[in-house]
Amino acid sequence: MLRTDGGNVSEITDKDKSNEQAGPEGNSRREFLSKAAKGTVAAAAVAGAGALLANSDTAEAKASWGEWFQKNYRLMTDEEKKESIARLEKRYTEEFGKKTTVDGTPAQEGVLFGYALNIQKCIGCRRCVHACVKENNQSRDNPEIQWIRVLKMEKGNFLAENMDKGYPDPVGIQVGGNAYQNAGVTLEGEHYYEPEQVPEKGHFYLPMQCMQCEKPPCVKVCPVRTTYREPDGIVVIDYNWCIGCRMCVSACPYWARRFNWGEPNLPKEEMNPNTHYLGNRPRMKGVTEKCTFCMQRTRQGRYTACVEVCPVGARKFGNLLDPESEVRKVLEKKRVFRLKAELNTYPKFFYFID
Amino acid sequence: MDKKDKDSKGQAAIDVRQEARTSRRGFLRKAIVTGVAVTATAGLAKKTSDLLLKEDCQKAYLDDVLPGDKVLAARSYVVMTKEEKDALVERMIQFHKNPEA
Repeated sequence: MLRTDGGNVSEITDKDKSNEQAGPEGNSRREFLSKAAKGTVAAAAVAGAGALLANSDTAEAKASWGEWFQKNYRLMTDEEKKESIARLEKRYTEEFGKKTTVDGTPAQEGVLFGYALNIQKCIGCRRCVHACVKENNQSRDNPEIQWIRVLKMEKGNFLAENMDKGYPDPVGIQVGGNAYQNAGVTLEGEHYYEPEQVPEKGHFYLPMQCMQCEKPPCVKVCPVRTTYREPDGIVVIDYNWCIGCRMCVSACPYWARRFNWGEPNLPKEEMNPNTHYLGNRPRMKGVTEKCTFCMQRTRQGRYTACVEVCPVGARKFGNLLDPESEVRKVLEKKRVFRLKAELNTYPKFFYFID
Repeated sequence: MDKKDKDSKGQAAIDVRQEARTSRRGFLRKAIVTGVAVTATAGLAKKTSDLLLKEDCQKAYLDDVLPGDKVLAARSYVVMTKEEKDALVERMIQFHKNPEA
């Protein structure tokens, strides 16, 4: 029987005991194992710390370490911002195989950006959509993330003769000519329309993007304050601080925010290397993104990509604080309307008709 | 082979197994085998669940975007009066000067 042979067991135990009681040289198996384990842990710790902290040559390792532990961009000192930007430039340059710059230009004094779009002129060609995707390094495939979407709408009640009629008279006039009639109708998914020729008969087009609200609901709901309004009126996102909770996506009344459900697919050869930290730098999975009025351009005195590419000049952009700017002229001279004005979000994106 | 010899050989084999079960080496072997098995099972389970529950990013993206199209298109838009436009510009300038307002 197994148990009857206690002699062997006791013999082993005795052997073990004798091993454990081995002299100060510590030759027991337990001591050896203990030392080996400690040695391995110590070696791993030293190697790990060394790789993370000291001389790791890969830009990605350094960037990962730095990015995980950096502050919210808004709270960084100038020095920390520079460090963060340098880190990203190195990483993107290595990752995309081209010299990439990450701009950190802050908002200029005395500038409040505004945008106006002539829906009578828009022909629905969607060049703006594609120019935006290219300029802002959006995911190209599965899905192609688009910050601008152009709604194709049936003309319906959008009739010239009705434009000056309708309720509420003292406050404003109804685009559709009647407060109880819609301006037009669209079908689900119609912003992916692929017509042979535009504009299509009986339709008009309503391009949509971030309205850069003065009182943005998306900013109010952000639990980590990663999204905020810059002094020039652009609502920005610090992608590194975003936790991907999607509160802002739900809060935006204009459906203007996009969420990276998967790892963005941005081919190296299509990457725009002129980026801004708060704008078009490559994003990661699990963060929100949206139109930033091409801040990498506009803060350098250029027009946005969508304004530049529009073949019919339907898009106007400028400084709302400058009475001579195009956008102020539009506000002064044209018939203007805003989307969901009743929410008091004060969108700085205006639609107008001649 | 007589019965006694057979018994002692069988007993020796049992002893070896018993030793393997109760000794430290036996314990370590079991621990390693269990560890490897648990890790392999967990890895396999993760791979399988990843494959089965893989998010359709395209669908998720469209689910975010498309509901807005209908809502926004089905609205009536009111053109602003001159007074409204002036008041709006004035307020925006005020906001800009005093962001805390």
